[in-house]
Amino acid sequence: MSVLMDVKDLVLSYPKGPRFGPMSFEIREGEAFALVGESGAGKTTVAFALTNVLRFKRGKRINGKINRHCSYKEISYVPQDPAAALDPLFTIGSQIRELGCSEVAIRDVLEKVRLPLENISLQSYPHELSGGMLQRLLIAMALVRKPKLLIADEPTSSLDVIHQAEIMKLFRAVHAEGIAILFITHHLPLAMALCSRMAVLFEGKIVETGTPQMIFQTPQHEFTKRLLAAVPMLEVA
Amino acid sequence: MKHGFLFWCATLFLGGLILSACFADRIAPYDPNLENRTQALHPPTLLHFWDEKGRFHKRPFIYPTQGVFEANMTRSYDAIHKKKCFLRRGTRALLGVQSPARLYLLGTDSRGRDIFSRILYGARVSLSIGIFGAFVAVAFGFFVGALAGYFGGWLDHLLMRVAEFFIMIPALYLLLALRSALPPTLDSFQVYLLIVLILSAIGWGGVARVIRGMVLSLREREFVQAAQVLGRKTPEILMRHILPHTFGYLAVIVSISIPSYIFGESFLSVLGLGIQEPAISWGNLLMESLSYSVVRFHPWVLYPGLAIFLTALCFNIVGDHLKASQVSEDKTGEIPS
Amino acid sequence: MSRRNLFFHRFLMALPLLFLLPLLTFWLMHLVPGNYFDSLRMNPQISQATVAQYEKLYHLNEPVLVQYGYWLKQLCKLDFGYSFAYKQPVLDILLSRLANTVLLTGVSFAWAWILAVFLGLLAARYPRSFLNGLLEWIAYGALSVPNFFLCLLLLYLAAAWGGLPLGGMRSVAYESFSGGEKAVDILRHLVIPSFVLGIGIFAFLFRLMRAQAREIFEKDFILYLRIWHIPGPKILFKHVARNAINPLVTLLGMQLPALVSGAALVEIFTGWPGLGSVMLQAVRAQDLFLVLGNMVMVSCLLVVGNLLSDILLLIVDPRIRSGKGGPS
Repeated sequence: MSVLMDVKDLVLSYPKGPRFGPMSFEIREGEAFALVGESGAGKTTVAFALTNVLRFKRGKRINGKINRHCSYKEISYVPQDPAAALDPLFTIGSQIRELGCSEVAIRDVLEKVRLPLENISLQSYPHELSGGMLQRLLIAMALVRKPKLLIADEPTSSLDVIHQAEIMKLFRAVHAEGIAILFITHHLPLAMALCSRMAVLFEGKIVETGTPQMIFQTPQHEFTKRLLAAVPMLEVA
Repeated sequence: MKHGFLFWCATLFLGGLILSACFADRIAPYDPNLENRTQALHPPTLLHFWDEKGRFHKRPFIYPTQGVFEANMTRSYDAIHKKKCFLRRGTRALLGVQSPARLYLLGTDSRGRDIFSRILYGARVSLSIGIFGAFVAVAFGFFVGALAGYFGGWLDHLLMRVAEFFIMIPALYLLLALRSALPPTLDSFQVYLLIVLILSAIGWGGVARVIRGMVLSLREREFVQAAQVLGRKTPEILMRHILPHTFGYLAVIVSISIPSYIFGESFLSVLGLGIQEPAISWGNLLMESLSYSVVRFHPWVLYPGLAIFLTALCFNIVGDHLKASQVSEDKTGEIPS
Repeated sequence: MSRRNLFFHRFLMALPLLFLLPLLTFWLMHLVPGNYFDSLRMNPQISQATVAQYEKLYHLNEPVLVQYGYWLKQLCKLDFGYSFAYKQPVLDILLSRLANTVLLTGVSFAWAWILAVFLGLLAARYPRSFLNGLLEWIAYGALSVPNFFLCLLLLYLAAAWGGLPLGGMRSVAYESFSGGEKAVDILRHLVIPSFVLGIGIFAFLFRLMRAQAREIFEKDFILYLRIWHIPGPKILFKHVARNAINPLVTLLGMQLPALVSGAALVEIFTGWPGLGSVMLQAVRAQDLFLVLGNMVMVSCLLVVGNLLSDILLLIVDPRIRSGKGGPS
C-alpha cells in the first residue's frame, strides 16, 4: 500500500502559544487512520498544516517535513463546527457549486450522504439547516472532488448520539470506497471502531502508534491508559 | 511612524496649544484687537539671519516694510533693506522686535490685526467650546444611558426612544433653526453658552445608547449585585462601581467628538451666527477668508483653518490611540467603532 | 449591543420625525419675541391691509399650538404656505431644491461607498502596504478638516487654476446648452461639492469596512474556503466583501442625519441650490413657512432614506428575512 502522506518531526508553533511536536506519522492509501487526543492538543492545527492552510493563520510556523505523495487537491477537510463552516450569506447551493464540479457529481454526492433534498433545497441558507444536516453537507462538499484523503476533524463532537451513529456509518461507507480517512477525535471508542491504525497525541507529542488491538491490549503511555480506563465499554471492530 | 510616537506628538501639540491659549497674554506678540490699518493684510514677516550683503547675524532680524497700493486695489509690502530690526524681549510678551518693524508671524487681517495673536486668543473660545460641549454631551448621555440601562423597563424604553429621536435629527438644520430662534442681540457669553448647549443637545444621544448597553451587561456582574445586597444606594452604585468601567469608552468618545464641536462652532461663527465680534474664535477669524479676492492675494488669512485642522487631527489621533489601547486591554468590552 | 430584529425598524423610528421636527422648529421660531410680520409691517412696500390679511389667514394672533394646527391642516392639502423672501409658494421652491439635494447626496454617497468598500477590502488584506498607509492618512485628514474650510480651499484652488466652476449648479449660459452639454455642465459643478461631501463619508466608511473585513478574516469559514481551493481574490471580493458590508448597511440608517447635514453644509459653502442653502437663507430672513416647509422636506428625506436602508438590509441579510436575527 503506498503512502499518501508522511510527516517527519513536524513541529508547529504559535507566536505566543504552544508548540506541538515533534511528531511523525504516515498515512497510507485507503486506510483509516485516527489521531486521538484531548481538545487543544493541536489536532486541528495538524490538519491545517497537512492541508497547507496554516500559512494563512497569522504567526503559526511549521518546522519539519511533510511529504505529500498526492496533490493538495486530493486532500479534503471536514471542519469541526458545521455551524461556523459556511458563509452565512450565500445559499448552500451556490457554495457547493463554487467547488467547480458538475451538477451531476453534486447530486450524486448529496445522495450519497443522504441529505434529504426533498425537505431542504439548494436555495436555502446555512442557518436554516440543522447541525446534522450541515455536517452531512460538509462531508458532501469534501467528497465531491473525489479526494484520496479525507481529513475529518472531530466530526461528531457537536452531534447527539443518534446523529453520531449515522455519521459514523457514512464514514464507513466512504472508507469502503477506498478513500483514506484521517479521523481526528478525542473520542477513543469511535476511533477504534472505524480505524485500522491510530496515533495517540498527548501534550503535542505522539506517544503511541499502532492498531487498535495493540493499543487496547498493551497501552504504553500513561495517558493512553487513562483514556482507556475512562471508557466504560469498548468494542474493538 | 509608530502609533505611539504619533500619539505623543499629538498630545504634546494639544498640551502646548492649551497652555498657549491660557497664557495668551504672555505669548501673543500683540493685542488681538489692536488695529493697524496702515498694515492691513500684511504678509507673515520673515526672519532673516543673513542680510542682503551676505553677512550672518546671530540674532534674527526683520526688515520693516512699506505699504504699496497695487493697480488691482490690493496692497503689497516692500521690504526696506536699509534697516534691520532685531528680535528682542517684547514689551508685552516673550518675543518682540525693534520698531518700526512688526513681528507678524502669520500676517495680519484686513484691519491690520495680528493673526497669530488672534489665533491664540481664539483658541480659548474654540477649544473650550469643543471641550465643554463634548463633556456636557457625554456627561448627559452617560446619565441618561446609565439610568436607562440600570433600571430597565419602561424608563429604559422611554429614554431610548428620546435618545434615538435626537440621533435622527440632522444636526445642521437644528443648529440653524435653533440659532434663528434666538434674539440676535445676545452678549458673547450668552452666545457661547447657547452654542455649547445646542451642540450638546445634538450629540448626547449616541453616547446614551452605548452606555445603556454597557450598563445592561455590567448590571449583571457580581460586584454590582453585591453592592445592591449590601444596601448601597443607586447613585453610589452608579458612580463608584459602574462609572469606572465605562471610563475607557467615555475618554475615547470625548476625544473623538471634540473636533465635531469645534467644527460646529466654527461653522456657526463663520456664517455670523455664532461668536461675534469683538469676541474672537477660530470660526469668526475665518470670516475674512470668505472673500476670494482677499484670499487670492493674501492667503495667510486661511491660517485659522489650519489651526482647526491640526487641533482636530490631534484629537482624532489621541482618540484612536485610546481606543486601540482600550480594546487590547479589555477584550470583553465592546467599543463600537 | 442588543439588536432589534424588527422589520423596518429604522423606518418606524424615523416616522415620528415627520411630525416632531416641524413642531420643534415651529416652537423654536416662535420663541423669538415678535413675529415675522413685524418686520413686514415696517416695509413700506407692503400695505397694512395686506399684512392684516395675512395675519388673519395664518391665525398669527392665536396661541402656538393653534397656529400649528392650522399649519398642519394646510399641509395636508399640500399647501406649504407662501414664502415672503422669495415671493413664491413654498412648495415650488422646495421641490426644485429637493431634486438638487438628492442629486448631490446620491452621487457623493455612491462614489464614496464604492471606493470605501473596494479600498477597505484591499487595505484589510494588505495592512502593511503603502496603499493602506496612504489611505489611513487621507482618512485622518478628511475627518479632521472642517468641511466648509475644505470647500473654500477647493473653490479657491479651482479659481486659481481654472477648470472647475466656482460654485453654484449651472453656468450662466446654461440655457443655451444642448442636452448633453447641460449634463456635463451640471457634472462639472458637482465635482467640488460632491468631493467634499463624499470624502467625509469615505473616510468613515473606509475605516469601518477595513475593520469589519479584518474581523471577517478571522472567521473559520474563510479559512475553510482556502482548503477548498477557492482562489484568493474570489474569497476577498465575494465572501469577505458580502459579510463585511452587512454591518455597514445596518449603520446606513444612522448615517443618514449626518449625510443630510453634511450635504447642507456643502451646499451653503459652494452655492449649490439645495435644501441646505435655502434653509440658511430662510433662517436669516426669518421666513417662517419656508423654514417649516424645509424641515418637513428634510424629515421626508430622512424617512424615505431609512425606508430604503431597511429594504436594503432585508435584501442583504438572509438571516433577517427568516427572522433569525441580525449579523453577529
